[in-house]
Amino acid sequence: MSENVLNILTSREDKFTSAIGSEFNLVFNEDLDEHEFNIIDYEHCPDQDDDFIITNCMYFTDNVGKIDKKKFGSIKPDFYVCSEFDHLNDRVKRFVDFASGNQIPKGKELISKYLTSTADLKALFDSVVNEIKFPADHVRDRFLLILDELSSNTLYNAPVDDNGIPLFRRTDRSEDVVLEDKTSVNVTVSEDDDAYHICCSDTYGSLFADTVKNYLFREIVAPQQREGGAGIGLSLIFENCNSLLYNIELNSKTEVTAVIRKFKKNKDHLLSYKEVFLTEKGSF
Amino acid sequence: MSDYTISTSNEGSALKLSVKGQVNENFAFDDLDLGGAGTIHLDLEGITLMNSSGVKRWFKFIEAIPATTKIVYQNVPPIIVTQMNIVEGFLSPNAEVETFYAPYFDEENDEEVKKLLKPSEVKDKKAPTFTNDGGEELEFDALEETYFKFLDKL
Repeated sequence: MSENVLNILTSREDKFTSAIGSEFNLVFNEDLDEHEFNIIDYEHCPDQDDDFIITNCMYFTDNVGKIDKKKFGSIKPDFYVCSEFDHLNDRVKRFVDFASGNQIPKGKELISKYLTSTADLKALFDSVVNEIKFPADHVRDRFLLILDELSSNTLYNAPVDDNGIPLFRRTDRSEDVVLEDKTSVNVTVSEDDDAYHICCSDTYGSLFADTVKNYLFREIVAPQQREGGAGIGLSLIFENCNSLLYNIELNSKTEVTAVIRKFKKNKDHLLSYKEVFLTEKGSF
Repeated sequence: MSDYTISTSNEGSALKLSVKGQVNENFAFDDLDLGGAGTIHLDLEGITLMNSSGVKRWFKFIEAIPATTKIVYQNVPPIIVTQMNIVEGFLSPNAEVETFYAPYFDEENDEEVKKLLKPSEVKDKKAPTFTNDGGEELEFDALEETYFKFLDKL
């Protein structure tokens, strides 16, 4: 299986309580070709303590004759034989850590700001441009685009009223918004030797895991004709980052982190694997 | 202060628009006087960011230009080449690309280099070769099949 395979790992909290702390073997299909995407829901197998069975997979491939990209729905295999996918197992182990609440280390904090208005977005952008020295122009370009898209999405899409009705989701982005709760939306930028981390969090918890999966499918896995630029925000974020981490606690908190690795060469970024981690807890 | 500027000048018989800064949700062009130009040169070298809202605004901008007007893109930076490749319809039927930048990497000096190319210099989607001052070949720093995909639309 190619390094270019994207794996979107999701979990519901109850499925993971039995897995925490245990060793596991990933069972997976060896025959996957390049450019395939797998959206995998894990479920602990009750009969085999150390193995996961993949109960819900969607496979998409570019190859003619294989599964049609447009035909999606769940395929329910019994199980697949694990192969030497060490990199994938490492990634799954990272995901288990992430889902267990052990956040992936983010390094040194560079900037942390609460966003209370559109003006704050602009100020944040300007401070990043002035304060951070990037190792390469292409890293800077990726970083700034992701910062712009992610923080704008959080400011406009996250806030809901006491009845859960979105406040600004339909507001044109050219219109300024002001939040009443001054500490509800936060953007933190940090770095380690390997990567930058842009974390946008809010205290509304109004994003559903299924919504994220639908967007991922629509914009990345099987993109529609993006005529007129409609709906390309998430795909721009995804194209330009290396990891996208969603930590959702419904009605309480949403945290989205984009990781941008500090590749010297642009091509190294283009050839690197991508991952999306998504966990959801609670109810809305 | 605006996030962008659009300056106008004449380039031969064509109208030249030089766009600089961020093309985002605030990008507006209502005050632009195209003066019935038969050809518009769009110099994009100074664009530093085009987000998803900016792409939508850009589409409206291009739609406002009469279909009989020829649009010639000049000095297209890599961030806009990426948009041309991702977004269906970015290059309208009346558009052509005169010059665009391609990313290369100088291993010897460990630095990025951007080269200005014409579409005619890219044959069979292969990046032309360049050397640095010391004669060492530069590495094309993107995936050729993907980076030059927009040329199929010209």
